[in-house]
Amino acid sequence: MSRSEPEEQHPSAAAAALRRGEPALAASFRLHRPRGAFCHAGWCQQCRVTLTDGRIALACRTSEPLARGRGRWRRLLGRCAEGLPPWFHEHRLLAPPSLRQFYLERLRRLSAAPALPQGALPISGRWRRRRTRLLIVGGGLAGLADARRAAEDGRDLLLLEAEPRLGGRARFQPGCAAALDDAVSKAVQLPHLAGTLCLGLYEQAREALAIGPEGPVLISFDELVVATGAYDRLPGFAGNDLPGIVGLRAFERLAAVGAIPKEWRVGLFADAGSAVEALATGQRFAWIAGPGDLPAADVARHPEATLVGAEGRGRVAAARLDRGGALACDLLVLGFTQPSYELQMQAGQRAGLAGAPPVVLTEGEAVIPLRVVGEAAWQPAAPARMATRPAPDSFLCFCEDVRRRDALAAIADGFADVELLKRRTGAGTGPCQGKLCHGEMLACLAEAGRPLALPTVRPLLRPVPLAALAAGEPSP
Amino acid sequence: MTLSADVAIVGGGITGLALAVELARLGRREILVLERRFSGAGGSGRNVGRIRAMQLTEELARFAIAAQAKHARLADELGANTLFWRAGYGWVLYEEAEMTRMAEVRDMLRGLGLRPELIGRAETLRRLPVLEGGERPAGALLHRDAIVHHDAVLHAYRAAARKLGVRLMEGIEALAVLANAGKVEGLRSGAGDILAPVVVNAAGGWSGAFSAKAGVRIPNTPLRREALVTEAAQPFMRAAITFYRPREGWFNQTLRGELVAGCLAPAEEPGVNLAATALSLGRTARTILAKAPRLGQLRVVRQWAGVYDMTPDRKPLVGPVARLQGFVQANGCNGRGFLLGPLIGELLARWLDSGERPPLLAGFDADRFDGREDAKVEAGDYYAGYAAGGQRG
Repeated sequence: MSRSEPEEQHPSAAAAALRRGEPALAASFRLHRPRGAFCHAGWCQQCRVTLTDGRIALACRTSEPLARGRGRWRRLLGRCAEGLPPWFHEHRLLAPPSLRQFYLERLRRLSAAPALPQGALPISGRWRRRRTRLLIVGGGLAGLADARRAAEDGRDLLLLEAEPRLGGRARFQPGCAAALDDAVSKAVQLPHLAGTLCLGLYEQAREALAIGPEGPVLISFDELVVATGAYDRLPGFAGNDLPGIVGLRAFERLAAVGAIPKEWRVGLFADAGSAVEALATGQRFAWIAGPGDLPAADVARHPEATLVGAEGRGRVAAARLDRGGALACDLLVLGFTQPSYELQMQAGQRAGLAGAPPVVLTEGEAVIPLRVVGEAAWQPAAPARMATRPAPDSFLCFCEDVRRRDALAAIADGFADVELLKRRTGAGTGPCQGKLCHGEMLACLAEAGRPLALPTVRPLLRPVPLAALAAGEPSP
Repeated sequence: MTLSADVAIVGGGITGLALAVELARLGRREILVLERRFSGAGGSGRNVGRIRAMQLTEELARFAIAAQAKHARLADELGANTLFWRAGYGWVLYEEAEMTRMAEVRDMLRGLGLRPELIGRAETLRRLPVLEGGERPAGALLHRDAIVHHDAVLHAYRAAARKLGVRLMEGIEALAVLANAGKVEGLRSGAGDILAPVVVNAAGGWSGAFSAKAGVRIPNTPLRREALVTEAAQPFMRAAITFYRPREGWFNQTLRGELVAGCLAPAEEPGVNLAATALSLGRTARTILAKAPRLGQLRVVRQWAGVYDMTPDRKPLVGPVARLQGFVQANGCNGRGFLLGPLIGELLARWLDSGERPPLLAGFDADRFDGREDAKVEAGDYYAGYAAGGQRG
């Protein structure tokens, strides 16, 4: 069993586009800036595309052909809007008021949102209910190990894995092949639902909603194990939204399916630990750089460096360091990890910040018996693990095109609470629901000396089509 | 620490902020607004900004028309665009009996100067094409109603309040009302005592509970309502849609392009509960897609719950309370608070300033439930509670 079989047979549309040398896939919502897949795992929601039949999909989650992009005038329009803050409409008071109506009617047609597809999706099946003592969310090595231990103790358990196959990140890490085969072969007979995404916790976190191939399922449980791993995050630096910048986990996936063109110059900016993981893929790098020491490798190394910015037109062409100047690259890999925190927050824990740039960590008592295992429980090592220089025009929220300077302006204007900041800027309200921006929002508030808190982490943890939720009512 | 104020307003939602700004515009100083969390944490930040003049009873419709007109001029009064958008509004009807009833509502609304249109099946599908492929409508009552963006309105009020010197204290809860010899003396708050001869209860869904702290029992009952929002798409519908059969549901596309939708939970228990439920996702999806199946392609990104401040007669409570001098109600908006808040703020400010009740507030007497404090709120199908012609059945 090859660990990357399905991907090799059906590479994602995002991986296929990269292989063709086209990292830009979509346009950003407000400014129509080119965006590519960053996480390649369904978290960042930046590669939302329209398929040839009109349906909307994430390029990293489909292998179907993509429709051609829309006209160039929208890019120009976006460029005109570059300097405007998210609340740009506030001081446009056209007179007479009928002109305002005209303005709004035009404005609402100017976003990069896709068209609503024609036709309806089929609705079938029913909501189901399940009950288990122990619910384990995440079928990577940590979740599988926990499930095995629980099964050996004779416990009643159910494991959920969002992807169609068990194994999580290890599926894409060559060094983990043996451990993966062992874990998966022992886990297949344990009660688990693959391809089933946990959407959130309800009823004082006593119930989880998940959605899988057979539709929505409500799972009541006594104890929760969060083994949802971590995801790639984009720290703040100038040009951080350029297509061709990918996370370390995304890079592992792309390397596993051979999606990276041989002739490409790949640059890596990471701390020592992440750099070791990136090198373990066997991919060749043009250069590696990082804030501290770096592992020995047969490439140009730039230790003790700060990432000042990414440069390029429409896609990344170089990374600029504080020392060493601009280093050319066609793909820039960033080793910046955000442990997933959503379920912990819904289970009643509080948010904290650690590291530089800061990642969101959870702490404090949960309202249910809760354990966090694997990369979800990972803590950044002190002190600087990913030195980037946050620029005022670096993007903080990618879904809503909110820049760091917008957040700082809003805070200075009295929106100095995370909930107010979210409502003022729109940061965290787009399809990724804050996964890319919560850490940066908190960092901006911390800089202003404001107390740390996350906005309420509401379900759903990932977008789901309305039709998939419309299955018949569950039996009571 | 002891603070003092001329007027202390409890609740930093739209009603509280509007009242504060209007009082300041009348030249009153020392206005303080106390907000438990942040402005917009309650109903004002959890609604979808549908401000409908087209109400079912003549009394409410008359007030709603004036309230919508207030929203229409709010941007000029506050100096900030509130994204007031005449998207239109359609009550879609699925039973012939509803057509008969709505003909009378239409006539009542025409008598008040609105120009609603009652249209048949074919015209409904032509004017509201998003309904194509769904359950066959009997017809629709359409009107040029408006939608605002709740945050744009709140932020405009915040900025105006700051400019006018209103003191907005966020993150501070009102714990008790200080009173002596039947007169209000101030508030006990999380930040110490606040001396004020006038305390206004603009606490929205928390109004009943706060009024009880002042020893003034009112029948206001909080009721959870849930909503969901999808990712944005290019414009696919304009008029906001509401229907009541077989079950109340609503949906509309925002200016940004998202679909917002919700439906009635028939067995909802009264009480402040801001937790969203998993079952409401399925219920809303089924209810909405039965009418507009094409919307099933949109991906839901988030769901949340808001709170209605319900009264037994579906009318607000506005004005001073006779039993406790200096205690003023500004609540009980029954899910229409975002529409009514700005007008209630304007009229109540005038009343508190001049001592004379504006005629438009005559039906909303704050003492009308004295002796009937335990009057029950019907939580379920409120549309069914209205007989033809907009009279309460």
